Amino acid sequence: MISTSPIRSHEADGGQLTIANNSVNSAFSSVYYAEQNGGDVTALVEKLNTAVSLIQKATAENATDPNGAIADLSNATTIAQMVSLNSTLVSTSGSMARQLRLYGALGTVVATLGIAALVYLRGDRVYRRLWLYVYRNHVVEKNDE
Amino acid sequence: MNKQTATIILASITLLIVAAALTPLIPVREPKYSELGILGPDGTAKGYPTSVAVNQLFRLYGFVGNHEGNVENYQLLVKLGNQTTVVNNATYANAPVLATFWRIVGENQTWTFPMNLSINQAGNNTRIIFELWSYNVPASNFVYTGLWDYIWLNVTA
Repeated sequence: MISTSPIRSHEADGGQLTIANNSVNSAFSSVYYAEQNGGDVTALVEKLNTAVSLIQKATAENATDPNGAIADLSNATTIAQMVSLNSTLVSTSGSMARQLRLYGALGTVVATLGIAALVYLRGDRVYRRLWLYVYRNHVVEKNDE
Repeated sequence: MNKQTATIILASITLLIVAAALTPLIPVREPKYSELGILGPDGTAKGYPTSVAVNQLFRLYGFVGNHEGNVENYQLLVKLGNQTTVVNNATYANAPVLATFWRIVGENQTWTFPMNLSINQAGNNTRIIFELWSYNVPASNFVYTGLWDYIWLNVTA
């Protein structure tokens, strides 16, 4: 997890490293907004961290294995781009889930208020009818005592 | 049960159900913050090195906690400072970067990681400064969080 030369998107870096860094940061922005929309971004974060690890590995091995470093940076960029694409879906499903929760809660409130109003206005009559129905066959017997 | 009592009970039950249905929709206002900690070679807050040789590897652990209410993109910068290096909650150190550690951390998640460091120049009262930066999405760049820590080291030739 150590990088001897700094990976800093806040500084100018050249070539594929910059592309990979920017891809990860751009994908992070997509993930951030997907989460803001109520999406579950756990899997996306995991994938993005894989891309970050590849960038750090590439930076560490750049001096000894430049081809390996290029391959790692390319893989990191691909992963980040996939995360960006998938975050759109996660964002949409998060928005829908949030709307469903909202409608569910509002439905519960409306139903509760409706039932309460019915009980208040018609409760007595319904109770008496129910009582009569339940005890329709009941015979009142004379108590000898 | 008279009509008045029944009405009060009915109203209470209605209010309870309505409140229970609406509670999940009300955003919870919790304090938002990040955490930064530097741990010693055994992963605890003790045993920090005080003296190392030039280019000698030494290990510390970093600890970062995310309680910002959303996913965060963190970078921990390790900088090589000295007694005169200015660093505080508002100003990051203007010093060379020894290493950078980078991780995306989910909400309410922590990140503990080893840092194998070495210093390539001798000096007394060398200050190893640890700064936490996070990615600012609207600005599209990393910004200093104001969280920092340091250890003093004598680096012998």
